[in-house]
Amino acid sequence: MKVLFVALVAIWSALTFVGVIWVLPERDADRGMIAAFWEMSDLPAVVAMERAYGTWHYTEYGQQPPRFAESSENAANDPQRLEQESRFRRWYNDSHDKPLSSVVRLVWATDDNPARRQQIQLFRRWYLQNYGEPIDVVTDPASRDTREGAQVTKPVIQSIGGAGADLLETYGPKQLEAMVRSGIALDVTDEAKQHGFEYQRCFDAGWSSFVYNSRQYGFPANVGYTVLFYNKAMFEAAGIDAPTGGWTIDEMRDVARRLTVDSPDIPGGRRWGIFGMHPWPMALSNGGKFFTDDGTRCIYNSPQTVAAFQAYLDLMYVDHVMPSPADTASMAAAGGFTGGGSGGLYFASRLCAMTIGGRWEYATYAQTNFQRVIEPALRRAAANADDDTGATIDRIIAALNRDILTPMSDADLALIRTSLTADDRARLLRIGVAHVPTVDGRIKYTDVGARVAMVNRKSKHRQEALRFLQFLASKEYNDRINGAFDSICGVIEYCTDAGGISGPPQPLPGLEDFDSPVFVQAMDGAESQQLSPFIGPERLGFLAGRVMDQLMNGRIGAAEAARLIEDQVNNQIQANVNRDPELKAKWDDLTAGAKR
Amino acid sequence: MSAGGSSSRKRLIVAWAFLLPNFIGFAIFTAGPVLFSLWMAFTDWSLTKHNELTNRSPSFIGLENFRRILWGDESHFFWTAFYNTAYLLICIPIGIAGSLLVALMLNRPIGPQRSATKWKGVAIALVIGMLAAGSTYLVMHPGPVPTREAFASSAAQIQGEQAIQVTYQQVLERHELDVRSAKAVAMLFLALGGITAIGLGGGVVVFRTIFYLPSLLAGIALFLLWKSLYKPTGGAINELLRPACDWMQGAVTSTPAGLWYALGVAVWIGASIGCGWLLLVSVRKRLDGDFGSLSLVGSAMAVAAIAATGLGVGYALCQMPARSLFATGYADFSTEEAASIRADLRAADTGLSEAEINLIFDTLGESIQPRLLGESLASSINAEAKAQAAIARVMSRATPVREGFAAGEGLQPPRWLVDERWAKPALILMGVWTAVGGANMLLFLAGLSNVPPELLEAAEIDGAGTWRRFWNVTWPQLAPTTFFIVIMSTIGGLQGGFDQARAMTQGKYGTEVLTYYIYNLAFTDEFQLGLASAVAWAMFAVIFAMTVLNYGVGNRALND
Repeated sequence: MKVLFVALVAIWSALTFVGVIWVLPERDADRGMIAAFWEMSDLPAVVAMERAYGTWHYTEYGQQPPRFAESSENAANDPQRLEQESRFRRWYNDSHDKPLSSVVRLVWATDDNPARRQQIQLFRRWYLQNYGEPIDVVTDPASRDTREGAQVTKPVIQSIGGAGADLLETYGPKQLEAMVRSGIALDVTDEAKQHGFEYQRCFDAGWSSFVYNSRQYGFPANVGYTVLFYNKAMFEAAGIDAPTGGWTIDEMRDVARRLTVDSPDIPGGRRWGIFGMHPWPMALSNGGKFFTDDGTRCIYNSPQTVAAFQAYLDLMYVDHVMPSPADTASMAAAGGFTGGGSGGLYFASRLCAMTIGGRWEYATYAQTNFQRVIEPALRRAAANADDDTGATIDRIIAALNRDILTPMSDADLALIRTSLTADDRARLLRIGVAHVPTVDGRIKYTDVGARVAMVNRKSKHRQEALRFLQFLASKEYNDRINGAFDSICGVIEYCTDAGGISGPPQPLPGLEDFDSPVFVQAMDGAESQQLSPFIGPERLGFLAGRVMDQLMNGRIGAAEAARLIEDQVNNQIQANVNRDPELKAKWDDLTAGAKR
Repeated sequence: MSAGGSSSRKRLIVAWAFLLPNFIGFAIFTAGPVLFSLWMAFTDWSLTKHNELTNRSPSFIGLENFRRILWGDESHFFWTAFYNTAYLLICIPIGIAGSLLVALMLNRPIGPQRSATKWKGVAIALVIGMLAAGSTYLVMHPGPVPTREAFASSAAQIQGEQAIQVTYQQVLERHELDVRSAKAVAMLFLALGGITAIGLGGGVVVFRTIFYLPSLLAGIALFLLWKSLYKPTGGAINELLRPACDWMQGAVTSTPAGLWYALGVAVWIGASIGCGWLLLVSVRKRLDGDFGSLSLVGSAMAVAAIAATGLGVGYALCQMPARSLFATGYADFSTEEAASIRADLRAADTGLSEAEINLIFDTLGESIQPRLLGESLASSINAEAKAQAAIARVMSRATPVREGFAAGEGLQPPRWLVDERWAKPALILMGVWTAVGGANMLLFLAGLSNVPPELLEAAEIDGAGTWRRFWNVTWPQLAPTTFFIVIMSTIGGLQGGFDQARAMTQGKYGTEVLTYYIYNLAFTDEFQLGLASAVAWAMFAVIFAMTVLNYGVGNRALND
């Protein structure tokens, strides 16, 4: 019995050891790097490398290896490619001081998705091209907080504890302020000037997301406002002209009324005219200011704010053209237990005719069209096509299933178009892009959305991380952002091309307005978020958020909401000032100056 | 040194060797952080201000954090969170009572004991389950999918080929959804039949397992399940409530208002009489020595429950004629309000002449809707800023009312998790459901198995009925178990609520409990670790006081 026990413990220990050695470390972590070498086979350094590898390969296997360019074209899981990678890895590790898997690996606290993987691969190639060395980047999606305006809890705690990512990600001025005040964000002003990624190259509406007290703390990975998407088929069917330029809430309301349809056959019983208008940006775009210029006082209770709040309430509770929070909680476009979802999902499910959304949602719409319409149509076409065409269609389907943002050639796109019947085309989600309406009809955007990469002051790879920011300012990266519908790029010069967005490949049918000038126009003359040094952004969001919830649920009126927010924020400012001598001195100074 | 001393020392060393790992772990991972948080509670530590990177250290500020939360600038948030936590404690007595009831039910054999009868029961349960499943499927199935032509002719509201095509696609999706729903409900009945059959065949153990199943599910799965059930539209609970609401609406509109007021008052009177009677009986029994302290506490809780229910139901009945129970909108201005607003507009700088203002009001007639008045002002006043100011004046006087019912859309069921009045009851309901079949039920079952059968037998021989046997034998015998459950549940209740609030409401709509407040302070609101620690220690003080109180009352009850 004792022997059996000891044997079991020994087996368990051995399995654990094997697990630790083989499973826990990321196996084949250098595959991206090998791919980067192969994809950059034109570089002189890589040409020399290929020659040396060829000599070694001939000695080892008695034959020349396939060319780098050929190897890179094989599918990732192709057995031949895996074998080639294995041989290349052996050669590299034998002929260099350190193995390929031990090159500098930056950790980027961002989400992991096909677009991001493309960008990382682009960086590996760009780095090889510009610095002649391999480098790797891995994403750490768990170490970021995606909610715009939310506190950056994980990054702050991890970074102070010394376990933060090399490259941190923030959204908006509130998160920037937290990172700077915590001392986590590295001031990159001087390096930016030296290496050409200074903030002046970007849309000034986005500066507040990475510039603090005139110092630069990062570089935008992308920028963009949420604009208004509309369903072209619904507009055409109702005989409504697409809105061009600025338009008023009243005009939008009339359109939404005509597009709101009640029918027991529609999931939820109603197709809403509009989804996703929010009182906060509505008030700001109507001229309602949150703070005085010096930030000493909240002045939110203004006629502009009240009018915007009222317009918002009317859309839900008087006109019934926009779902209330209760209606939204009942809408489950995804069909899961989420109790709701994003406006993009509702729009894709045609539960609303218009929605407020960002350009990044094009990927969702492309997926919707592909799954519901394009793939079935292609499969029908393949069944009746000759072998060559059938093979082409299979390739297209496989490529789009792997990555919906795969650039399409003109020939492939033509094949997709001819495969669609009239019924298919009617079922396509065709998206139009327009400006978000405002109370007075002027084009005005506030609260820019900028996804900013910043360098952790405690990063062990500061130099490489700074080069990553340099990469974010490169043409290659910015063209990729535009092409992958990842919002729009942050650098002005790469963003505009005859008033539209430069660089994207051909989009799938239904998404033809991908390069609408609206996306870029939104950035012109936009205003940054207002913050006050006398109240923390999270407390501000908490106080205002509670009142906003009551407003949105129709529990209080517009005027009361504006008054409550202003009173509560001013009370909190007073409490903060009274408690903190430094803050009080600053407040006294500013208010005395104002009186003078 | 003697051999005995050496052996004793050796035993001591061995004992310490076994105990030390646990002590070290406790000191490092529990006692250390707890004491550290006590120190933090007396500092102004904010992680964003005081850390290694900013090179600043926190300062000792004495009791300032406690002053702030108890009566300073944070007191409003602290006491709100405290109130929310206390409110949610309602589910504890209800859950305990439910657990006891279920334990009593599951403490005796269920179903027929004879083998032949048992298997007959199993067969009947299976047949009933299958019949229910089949008939439900037939009733719920939406029938054949409508053709596009049939849909186009029925949906006259939708004009144009394209629009019909776009909407028809939704009809197809809806049809598929309905078919799936019919299948799901049929499967549910089939499963119920199966479970009953297994229960009848397997006996009480099966039912005990089924009741305990919710406790085996991960909390977050339960929360998401309930979140789905609580959906205002399409959620299972509201879909069940909707016919009742429709019936009630019909009853309200066809019944004189006085009757509802009378009903409300009758409920109040009934509740008052019930409370009075229960109090009198309890006091008399206490004086006679029949009631111990625990029984007295139970009676007091019953009185409170009857009073609260009576008040609530009575109030709801009185509100019926006002038709203002559930939905939302704006009330028309009364004549007096309209006159006051008219005077206000005359005094304000609107740019309108008195005649123009009079014209607007005359055109709108007697019942003035706030929004219509706002629209009229907007179209009449030329200067934009002045128009907005005038609209703001009007809307600031508008009173939110529950419009859905008044607008004839039917009495709406609660909006549960997105409504401040219903979010807490929703969490309580879920908590009771989870608690009834949980660990408390198992503890009561264990307690019941320890009740000496001879006592129950003796009581039965003395002529005691079921209630008497429970009240005079079982319940006193369960006192130690109840005491333990009350203490643990109270501690758990005061510490809990975070997971539910985080997953279901994000702490909104009055569900920010003390633990959620601590989380917000420490990890989102400028990382105020000092203040958050003070709240945690204040919470500890409350829990400690409650536990001491429970011990005091409980010990007395046990001694009685």
